[in-house]
Amino acid sequence: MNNYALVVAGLIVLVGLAAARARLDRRDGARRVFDFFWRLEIFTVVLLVASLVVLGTVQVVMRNLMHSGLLWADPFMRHVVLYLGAIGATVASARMNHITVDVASRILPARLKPARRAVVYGATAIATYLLAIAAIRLVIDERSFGEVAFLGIKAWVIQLILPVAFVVITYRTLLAIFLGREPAEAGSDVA
Amino acid sequence: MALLGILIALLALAGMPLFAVFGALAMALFFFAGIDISSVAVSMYSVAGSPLLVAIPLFTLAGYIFAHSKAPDRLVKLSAAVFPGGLAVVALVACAVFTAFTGASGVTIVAMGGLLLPALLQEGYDRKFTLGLVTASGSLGLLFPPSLPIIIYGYVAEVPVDKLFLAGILPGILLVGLLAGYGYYKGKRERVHGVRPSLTAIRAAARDAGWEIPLPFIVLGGIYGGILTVNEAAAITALYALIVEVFVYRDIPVRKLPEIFSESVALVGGILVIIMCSFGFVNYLIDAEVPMRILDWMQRYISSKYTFLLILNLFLLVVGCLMDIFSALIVVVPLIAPVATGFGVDPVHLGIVFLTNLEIGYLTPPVGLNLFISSFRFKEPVVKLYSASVPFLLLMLLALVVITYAPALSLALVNLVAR
Repeated sequence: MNNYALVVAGLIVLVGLAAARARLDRRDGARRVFDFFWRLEIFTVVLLVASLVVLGTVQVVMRNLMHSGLLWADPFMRHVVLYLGAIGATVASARMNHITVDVASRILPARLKPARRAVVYGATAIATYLLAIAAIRLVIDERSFGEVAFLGIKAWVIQLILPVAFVVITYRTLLAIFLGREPAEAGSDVA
Repeated sequence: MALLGILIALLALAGMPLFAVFGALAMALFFFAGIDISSVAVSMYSVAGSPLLVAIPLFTLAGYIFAHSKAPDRLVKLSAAVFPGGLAVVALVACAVFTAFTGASGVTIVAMGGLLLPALLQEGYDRKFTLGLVTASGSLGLLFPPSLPIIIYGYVAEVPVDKLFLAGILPGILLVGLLAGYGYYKGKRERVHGVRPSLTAIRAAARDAGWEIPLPFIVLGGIYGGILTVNEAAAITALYALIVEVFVYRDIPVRKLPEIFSESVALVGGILVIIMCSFGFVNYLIDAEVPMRILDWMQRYISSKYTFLLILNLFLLVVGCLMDIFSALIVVVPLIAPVATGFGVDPVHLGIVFLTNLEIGYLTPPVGLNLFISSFRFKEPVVKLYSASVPFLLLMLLALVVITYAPALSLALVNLVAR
């Protein structure tokens, strides 16, 4: 992806998607689709956390009672943490409740707040989009190395979550600008 | 580069999410150093290489489950039965325990404050004192195991977490003790009518919380008995919380679980994504030998370890009130830890000093996080909370001085167990 045109085109597509999604906000049919993806995201997250609880407990029991353990459990759990970080960040983006320093919104007069929001979210979208590009380049590089992470799974396949997550984060940040509110504020149908 | 750096810093102050700030800084540094920006993503992936981080989502989940159950209620009743000296003392102890098990994410003020504020007012404590107390107790207990910031410090500074858990206990007791002493004095002076502890009350409260009382013993006993690793203790805690609150007490209906899971993951994701994005930034600074340069520069002006610690405290208090504890740990620790080692500060002791500072930072005006959570939760202007928390802030600063200049307080238990 050394092609600048492709990078710019990608950003334009995302802006278009977010704008289209913002316009479709009130259509019932569209809502059902958005809702489905949002539920899928939450379901994945629940499954990932549950897998940590179960595997962690299984490891305790196996190690202390049978003096053995699942060899793949440790790398698996570490990668689950990576996935939780990535997907958790997209969930946090839907509510835009990321950790911030945010001195300005406490001291700025109310009439300047929408402007602050637009500027900050715009800059955030650009930064997260560039992070997505960085992640895509990582995946392409890794793919040419072809290293295996664990259980025969290639590292680059696992790493795909990084560009996906940052693209989603960028899209949601843009969506928050178009909607003029946080995507998950009004009900649960974010996609 | 400098211009871009200033722009990003301004955006950070305007409220740009910190992960994006650190990601952008890292990309800018790499770009101007002629390194491919994919290095930032390489650092992100290295999160999957650390076994210690597994504990974070698990302890957080446990914390959210407790916060959504009636555990806070039972905890307060139990503390009220066991600890004499009025409800103020009880509130502090209960909050400390609750914070230790829920990380330091403001959950304490939201979960416990709503319960304690009306109760304290009803007992006759004045409103200003009560507000200050509830606000201060929001981060109290951060030094007790298995608190999340301790785990993150251990991860970032590469110090064994079980040692840090031990090291935090006495300083934590000092902090709680000082505030509790003030609460006791306040209760006496204002003739607050308290309940006398009685054996029947203890028995009733203990029976109510019977399923929750064993948990701290399982976690600590498991880790120090060599049965559980920290991650396994985290998994057991989460499982235990699930079973007890959902199936034994039935405080939480099963259909509410996905919501609680996703709430906890949003917080965990928020922390982990900062770790992921700041890794590249921090690694760049370490490769550029920034810590060594800070050390060289400081050693030119400072020779004593104690002067260094004083300056460190002042610096960390500022950091603590500007940044939340997690990002402060992730970014500042790798840069400062080598400097502190250069001045001969024990890394375990440094950890406790760090965490105490950041704990106090939660309460420091103008932007301490607890002040805002309290203001939001209790619908009081922030300015009122500033003045309400001053006495507590001063007491905590006193404790900080003791913790900083008496390393033995942190290291005694560690050395005792190591022997």
